[in-house]
Amino acid sequence: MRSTPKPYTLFILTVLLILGLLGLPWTGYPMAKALYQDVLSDVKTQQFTPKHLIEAIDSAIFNNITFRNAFIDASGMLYHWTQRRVVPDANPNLTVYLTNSGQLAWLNDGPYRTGPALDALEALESALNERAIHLLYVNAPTKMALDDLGLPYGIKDSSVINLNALAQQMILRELPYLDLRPAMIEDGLKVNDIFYRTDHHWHSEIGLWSAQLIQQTLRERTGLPLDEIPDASAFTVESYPEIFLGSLGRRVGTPYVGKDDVRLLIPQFDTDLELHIPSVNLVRRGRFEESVLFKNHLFPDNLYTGNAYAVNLASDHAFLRITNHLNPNGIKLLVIKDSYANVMMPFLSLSVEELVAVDLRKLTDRSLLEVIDAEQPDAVIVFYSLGVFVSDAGHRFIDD
Amino acid sequence: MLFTHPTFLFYFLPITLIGYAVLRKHRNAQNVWLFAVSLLFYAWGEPWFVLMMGLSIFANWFTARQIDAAELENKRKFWLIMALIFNLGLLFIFKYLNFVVETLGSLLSQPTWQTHLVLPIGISFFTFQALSYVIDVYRKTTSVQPSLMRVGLYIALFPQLIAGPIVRYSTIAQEIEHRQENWDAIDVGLRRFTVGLAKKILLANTFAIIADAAFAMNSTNTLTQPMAWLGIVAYTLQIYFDFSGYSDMAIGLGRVFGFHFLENFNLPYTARSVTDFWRRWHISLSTWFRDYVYFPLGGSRVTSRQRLVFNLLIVWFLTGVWHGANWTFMLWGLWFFVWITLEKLTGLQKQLGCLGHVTTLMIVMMGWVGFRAESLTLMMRYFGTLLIPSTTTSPRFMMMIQEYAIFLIAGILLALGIPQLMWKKVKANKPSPLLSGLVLEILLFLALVFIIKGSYNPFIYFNF
Repeated sequence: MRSTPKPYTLFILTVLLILGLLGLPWTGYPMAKALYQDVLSDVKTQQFTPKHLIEAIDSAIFNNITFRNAFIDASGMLYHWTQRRVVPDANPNLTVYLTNSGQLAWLNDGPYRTGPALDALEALESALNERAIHLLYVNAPTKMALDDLGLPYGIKDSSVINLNALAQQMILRELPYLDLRPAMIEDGLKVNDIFYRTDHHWHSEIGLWSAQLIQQTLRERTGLPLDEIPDASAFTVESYPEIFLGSLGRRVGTPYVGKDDVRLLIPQFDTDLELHIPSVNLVRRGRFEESVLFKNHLFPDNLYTGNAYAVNLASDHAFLRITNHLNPNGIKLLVIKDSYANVMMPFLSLSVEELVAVDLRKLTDRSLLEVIDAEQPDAVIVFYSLGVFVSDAGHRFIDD
Repeated sequence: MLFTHPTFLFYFLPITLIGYAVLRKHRNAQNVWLFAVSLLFYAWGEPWFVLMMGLSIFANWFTARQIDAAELENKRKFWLIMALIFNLGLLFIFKYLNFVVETLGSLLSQPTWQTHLVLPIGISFFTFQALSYVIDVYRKTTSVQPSLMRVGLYIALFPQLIAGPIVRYSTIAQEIEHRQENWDAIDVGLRRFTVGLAKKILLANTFAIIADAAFAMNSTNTLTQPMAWLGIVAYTLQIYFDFSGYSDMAIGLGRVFGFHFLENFNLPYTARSVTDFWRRWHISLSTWFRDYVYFPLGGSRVTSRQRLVFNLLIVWFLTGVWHGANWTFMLWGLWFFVWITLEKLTGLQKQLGCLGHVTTLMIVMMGWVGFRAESLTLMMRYFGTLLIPSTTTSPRFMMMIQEYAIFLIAGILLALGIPQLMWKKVKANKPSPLLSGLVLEILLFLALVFIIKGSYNPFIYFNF
């Protein structure tokens, strides 16, 4: 070649090299680690194929591009400057909407088929009745289930319709049901009080609020002697400003709506809790904040891969147990949960002797009934958002 | 693998370029390298597809050699027919068999079976490309390529493998052995690639959001008239920028490696007649049908009107069929048959004058409704919403306009070639080359932002 490289040629080749090959000293290890874990998981579940390997490589590359976070932030800045309220995603179901109240939200487009899930819940109730165990289904409202959200004009969501339909079905089938929405409205709770702006989960204060309501409801409906959970004034608030970029925020970048504050409620009164998570060989005993809260998650190395919400019980596990050593004569609860319950369960454990939690999406070594028979709780609480309830794994209460 | 995926941009392309540069003193080794990476490129989508590609390469190389070696015309014809049977048979089995079985089943009210064969990506493109080579050897308009690897390189060359343009062997025959790479050409190629990438990521993907929303609303019978019109305008822009963007990337990449592919789009929405539109839209396909179907049937130089109409019917029916195994595609092809026949028989476009631009655009847009709709029923429903007056308000329409107005304006102007005209005037005044470089750098940056962020990026060629 006789001519010399042109400036634009040098520019584009340099950019592509930096974002790929030249970035390998920084991205190579995390990429290899992610690929290894993916492949290992496929091998263990006997799903390894050349196509899966290629998909794993693509995924490892995509999630570990040099300066990836900076590019996501740049996209957030562009969306913010151009005042866009709809941020499209590669997966259309994960398109992010900016509401009038400054919340990021995902949409629920259409009606859910709740029939199979309700049938499964009825079967669970029968099984529990045989064992003289109480049941309570608690609906955990998602953001879109609250009317005051204010979607961009022209966008409709079906969450309210779906939850109203679920409530009707629960009444028709005479299933023990607690809908948190009326109490939220009655207590004047607004969407910004309940939800993180950049995440789909609840603030700690709502974890406490919902635990109190569940405790009160169980006492009234079943007569079970749950201890009163102290009021918010009995807790100290530890604030961590602007440290959390939630699951929605990670898709749009920090400049779009900023980051969330995290507030932890620390009991001022005596507590002695023991947390046991068998899958990760974890046992922790101590005060509330030493046992059930994992503050290391508040400050991840990478805002885009960390998850401050995991401060609550270190995220989701197939099975965990919280023992309240200050309530040795209390009752035992079993909670069938999704991630919304993580912020509630630590507070609920203050009212009982023991709380065990099962995540059916991760439970593979035994059936739910085997767990129930082994644990013999006084009551089972199903604490679900609607999407998890209608999923196949979510209502796998009774194995065939 | 797609051009817009990080794996391609940040690993496949740089590694290919590095390998190609290292081997620069050995043309044969460079060709082997390009062929190998092209097979890897194809295998990345679905590994077993590369076996089918290998079979296609071998079959076309073999039959072309047999045609060239045969002295008797009957024998030459025999091998041509074998090539046709193989290539069209392959296409039929993977693309049309399920559709034919289903259709026959419904007509005869019989239960049907389905193969579970996955449609190999780009099969319509590379099959037609391979066929053009064999037919040209038969016609003696191109000389046979004795090397299996070089035939493989021609058929499988990754820049044009998945979404065209359909390259004739004669276009690049010389360049397989005697091409010239230099930094000027590489720069031109990379600039063209950047323009294509920006068209696809910044424009086509944005219009896809609007179009997909409109057609989804059509599926659930919630489509309003304003949204229907907006949806079809958006789809008109989406398919143009997506397809022409991909062609730009293919042509640009070809240029980087020293290959000159012919243009595939020429501002089709400025056409003054439907005939003119098809001289500007997917040029490599329309010329393929012209050269290998229309002209052998006699073309326009036939003695009767009926024969002319018949020839046009065959070509446009096959054009529709090529695009997909669905009645909607066939009707779409026949839609153009009607208008082109009308133009040829009546000279309609001359009578319309300037109005021809508007009517052509409307005809093309109405055609896109059928092209995009998932079924005949949904197609009719969409037309109904478009054309039957309604007073239903459309909050979704207002939201889309608020969010995407600037993209729609930019897209319409670019599709009509207005900024390009202005840029030509700017270039005539010899501005600093840094200016065009800066524009491209900004476009590249913006495209990479949305690629890395993981924005909506549909692949619409799965039917092909």
